[in-house]
Parts: sequence; C-alpha cells; structure tokens
Amino acid sequence: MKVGIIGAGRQGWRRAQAIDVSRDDITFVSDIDAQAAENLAVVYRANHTVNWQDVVRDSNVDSVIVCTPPLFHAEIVTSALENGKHVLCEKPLARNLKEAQDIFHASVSNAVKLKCGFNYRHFPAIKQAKQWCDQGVIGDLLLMRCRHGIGGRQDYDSEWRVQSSVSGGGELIDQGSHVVDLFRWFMGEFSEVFGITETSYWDIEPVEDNAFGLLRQPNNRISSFHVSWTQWKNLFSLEIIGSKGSISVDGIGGSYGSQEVVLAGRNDADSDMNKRIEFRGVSETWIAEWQEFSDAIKDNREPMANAKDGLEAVRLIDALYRSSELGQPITIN
Amino acid sequence: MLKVAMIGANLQGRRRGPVIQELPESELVLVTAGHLERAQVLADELQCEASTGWDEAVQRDDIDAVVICTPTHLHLPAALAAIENGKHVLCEKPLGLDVEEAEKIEQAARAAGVILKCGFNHRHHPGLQQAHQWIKDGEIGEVMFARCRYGIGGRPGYENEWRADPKIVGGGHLLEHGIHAIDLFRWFVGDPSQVFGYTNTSFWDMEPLEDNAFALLRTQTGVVFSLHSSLTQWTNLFSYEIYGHEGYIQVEGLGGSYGVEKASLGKRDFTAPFSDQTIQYRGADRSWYEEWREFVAAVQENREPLANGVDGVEALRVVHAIYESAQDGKVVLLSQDQ
Ligand SMILES: NC(=O)c1ccc[n+]([C@@H]2O[C@H](COP(=O)([O-])OP(=O)(O)OC[C@H]3O[C@@H](n4cnc5c(N)ncnc54)[C@H](O)[C@@H]3O)[C@@H](O)[C@H]2O)c1
Repeated sequence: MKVGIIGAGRQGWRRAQAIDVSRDDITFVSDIDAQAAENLAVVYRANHTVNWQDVVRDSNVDSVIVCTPPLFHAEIVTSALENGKHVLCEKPLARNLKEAQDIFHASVSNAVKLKCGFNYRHFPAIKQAKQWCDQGVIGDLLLMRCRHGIGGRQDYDSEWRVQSSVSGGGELIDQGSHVVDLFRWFMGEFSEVFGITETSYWDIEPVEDNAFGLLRQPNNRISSFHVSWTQWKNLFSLEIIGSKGSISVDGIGGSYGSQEVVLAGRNDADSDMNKRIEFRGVSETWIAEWQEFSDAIKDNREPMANAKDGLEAVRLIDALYRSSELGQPITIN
Repeated sequence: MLKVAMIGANLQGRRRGPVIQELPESELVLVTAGHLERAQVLADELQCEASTGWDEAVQRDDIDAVVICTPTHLHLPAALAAIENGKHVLCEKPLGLDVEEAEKIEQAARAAGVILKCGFNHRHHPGLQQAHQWIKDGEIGEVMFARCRYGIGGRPGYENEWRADPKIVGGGHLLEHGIHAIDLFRWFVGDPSQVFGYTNTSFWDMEPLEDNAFALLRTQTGVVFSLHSSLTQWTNLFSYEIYGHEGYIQVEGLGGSYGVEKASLGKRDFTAPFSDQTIQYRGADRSWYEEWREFVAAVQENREPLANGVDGVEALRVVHAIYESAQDGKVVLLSQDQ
C-alpha cells in the first residue's frame, strides 16, 4: 500500500515507523512546516510538500494518515475521502460534533475505509479484557470505571493541546476520547451523560485540566471516569465488573507502568477463574493498529473503530462539555 | 470510670463491646437486644448484665453513656430516650433514616448538654488519620479533587438481611457504606455545594434499594469528589485518593478482607522519577478501639468529639441529596450556610 502522511509531528513519526515495519510504502509527507515534512520524508525516501492537497490528490497514494492537530481533521479527511483515499485519522475524529458529522457523511458516501486512531483498543491487555468479556467469562457487564491521567509537562500551557480552537477542548477531548471509546466498545451505547470539567492547576482557562464523567445506558447501567492533566503520577486504570466476575487493566507501558490484566471471579461463584497477565516491555499499538487498518482494506470490511465510532465518541464528549456548562445531565439522541 | 450500656447485640455490637471492656477508663455494664437470648450470649462473653429493649439502659442511674448499634430505624427513639435521661451517646451511622431524624437527635443532644458522637469509624483508621494530617500540614497544597472507590461483594442471602429491607434502612448501599466516604470528604476538604448522582440495582434482588451509587460532588471553590460505592465489587476494595497542587495522597485497604491498610504521599515533580513514601499498617483493625477512646476522652474533657452530631447530620444530607438527584435526574444544590 502507498501511504501519504499529513502532519509530521510526534504522531506522524510514530505512525511512519509502524507503516515501514509493516512493509507498506510511505510515498508522500506533508506538513505546513516544510522542514518537518522534509525531515520525515528523507528517512523513508518519500516526496514532501507543505500543501496537504497535493497528497490527497496524488494518484501514487492509496491511503492517507491524518496526524495534524484536530483543527484540520475535518477538511483534510473529507477531501481525502472524496478523492478516493482510505483514511486513518488521529483521535479525536474532529474538534466538535458538526465536524465529526461532516466526516461521517463523507465516509458513508465514498467507497473507501475510514479508521479513527483509537489505538488503546490495540493494547494487548485491553484486547484480552475485551476477549474475556465477549466470551462471557465475567457474565453480564454491570459497570465500568476508568481513571486516566498524566501530570503534564512544565510548559503544557503553551502547546496547541490547550487552545480549544485547535484541539476542541482540554483533557476531556484529549485522553477522555480514548476512555469514552473504550466504554462504548465494552458496554455499548449510552443515553445520558453528566460531566464536570475544572481548570484546577494549569493556566489554560477556558480549557480544562480535569474532567469527570458519569455515563448512563438505556438499561440504567452506569459507568464512571476521571481524566486528568494533574495526575502527578501517570495512571491508566480500567475496571469492568460483570455479574460473574471482574477484570482490571493497569498501565499502558512507558511512564504509565507495564500493562497488566487481572481476571477475578465473583467471590461466592467461580474462584478458580483467577488469572493475571503482565505484558512486559514496550506496549505499543501503532503496528497492530496499522495492520488492522490495512487488513480491513484488503478484506473490504469495516475497520475496528470506524467513522461511526469516531463520531459517537465526539458526540459523548460534546454532551459532557455541554453538561458541565449547564450543570445538568444531557440526553443523547 | 465511664459506665456504659450497649443497645443492640448483633454485628456492630460484637465489634464495639470488646473495646469498651478493653479501655481502662470504661466499663460495659449492660447489653440489651430485641431478644433476651441474643443479649445474654454477648453479655456472657463480655461479663456484664443483659436485658431487652432500651428502658433499663437509658434509665439506670449507674449508667453514664449508651452505644446504639440497632438497625437504623431504631436510632431515633433509642437515642432520644438516652439523651432525655442525660446519657452521652455514641450512635452508629447513619445517625437516622433521614436528615430530619438526625437533626432531632443532634438538637436534643445539644439542648441536653450531652456528648453525641456518630460512628464514622473510618476517621479512626490510621491511614486516613495520616491522610488528614498530611492535608492539614499542607503536604499536598491546595486540594483539587478526591476519588473514592469503595465496595464489597455482598454475601449470599444479602437480599434477606435487614440492610436490604427498605422499611428498616433509609437507603441502599450508599447509605450503608458510601456515607463513610462522604464523611471523609467533609473531614478532608469541607462541605459540597452541589451534588449529582446515579443509583441502580444491578445485581442484588433488593429494589428499590441500590447496590451501586455513583456521585460527583463539588464544593463552592471547585474541589470535585468522585465517588463510587458498590455492592458488586467482588474483590473488596477501599481506595481513597486526594490530589493537591503540590502532591497526592492515596489510602488503600482497611485491613482484613480489604487488604493491608496503606497510606502514600507523593509530590508533584515533572522530571524526577515517580516516587512516594508509603506507610503500611499491619495487624488488626484498631479503628473501633480508637473511636471509642476518642468518645470517652470527649466525655471526660466535656468537648466535641471527632465526628460529632453535626457531622452525622451533614453526611446524611449529602447522601439524601444524591438520592434526590438520582431520582429527579438533576443537580441538587446544598446551601452553604448549613
Ligand atoms: N492516539 C493517541 O494516543 C494520540 C497521541 C498523541 C496525539 N494524538 C493525535 O494526533 C494528532 C497530532 O498530534 P501530535 O502529538 O503528533 O502533534 P504535533 O504537534 O507533534 O504534530 C502535529 C504536526 O502537524 C503539522 N500540521 C499542522 N497543521 C497542518 C496542516 N494544515 N497540514 C499539514 N501539517 C500540519 C504541524 O506542523 C506538526 O508538525 C492530534 O490529532 C492528536 O490528538 C493521538
């Protein structure tokens, strides 16, 4: 597959490496910063440009990876889809609901694949947890909890991530996007949310550094999360409780600690279903995610975390922001 | 020597009775229960007298204080009878079925000039005491948020216990257990000014009482408390985290089936390796003893005890605000001057 990369920043480099490992060809790199585009292009002997339009129109490109800040996602992704390119777009799919809907509609009306970069679905411990849930090992799922956060960096206040016109919001749309996607993936759809966002430490108002969410399903099952840019010791903790047991996932590698998944039975039920798996070393998802995308294209099937999933995550995030602003729960249609 | 009667001889009575005998400054002279046989068994073990009802406990002149460990719906009549007779009272949580009942008890105690303590024993766990001290000493700076996950797995037949009978208790698992976490938040941070919650009955056959409650509380100054109180936590869990501008505290475990109690303190640092100091509290749960010691000291010194009647009322106010919120699907505002 011939791949164009748009946005040669941190994610652009990570994705490029995974594509290369998978023996696909990076043929074109674009970045508004000409030097950034060139630096990445040189490594993979690709062409480079400052105009993303050159990439989406190039007949020597089959699929496009969009790794720009969210501000540009909608325009670039819809254009790429309309030009018949398959797209892997970084999360969040877009800054807001309107833009996410535009992308979704473009994806429905073009016969190409769109995958949203919810790479957490590809962490081995999370995949294992999902497999156990799908096999019914812990029975009917009653609830989920997630605590996720990072302490930020000294100069967090000056990054694009804290300008809502570029990013769509603060920590809620940043790490929170992954969390709501995982909740949907495990539990299904939610019909009501309540959220609180706060700017507790960083000088980044009106953008939040902490967000709390409660999500309710039509059958009144509740899941709860907190994401934080003031989590002084990095944390990823995901817990799932079912009618026959529970599963917890801790860590996502690196500064979050090595990944571990623990399965435990309900105390009075099946006590010998206890299992614990630790995934040592680099916990990386970029290669697995890329391969899932390229398989979906080859098999002509929907990729895991498709346009709909990208849209629904933005819908939940949008509702959580509105809830926080209004101080009331918001119904999801 | 403080002479004590205990009303109620079940689970809590068995925990509280021995520590009254253990403390040199107090003596248990009478245990009462609904059925004499039950009171007699415990009284024999603790070497004191037994009777039924609470008339004798509250009327005898040689008794200075009563401990109330009955099911919740009897707290009000038992406590009022004791207070009217000038007895000091240690009453199990929740103080009453609802805020009104709790207020009646609190006001009666205040008017009578007796000491009233509400049984929030968690305040007497060493890890939580340490957390409180760290916050007071400014170790984590201005508090930003707290998270508490507190749950147990219930036990077979739970749905048949009085705890699952809506006529006897004023609520489900939030009132039974989660109220401790709320009391701790009030102790660590202060009163919330707004409350939102969801409750459900997802596993146990105990409708309309909840087996899970999720709440988000916020203070006037923007400190947020996230609470999940669960009766479907198959592996028992107590985890309380408090984050401030300068650092963070985590208390985990309560001893016994919750695992060894630990308190950790870490500091904000953007470059150094993550590091924290952790204290592990080995051995048995001593919170019942420490709580009793504080009650007796308050009586002797004629001062307010830690976790007094007002604390009993206010924690209950928050619990019922969460219930109201869950019922109406709305944020409930609590006025600040309460
Ligand atoms: N999946 C994950 O866990 C994860 C992690 C980090 C970031 N992200 C997402 O990846 C995306 C990029 O984040 P990043 O950390 O790499 O940011 P970054 O700032 O390191 O890189 C962004 C790059 O895009 C370039 N760019 C900006 N506008 C452009 C345009 N119009 N055309 C071409 N290039 C343009 C910038 O010059 C920069 O080089 C964001 O959507 C972010 O949310 C996802």
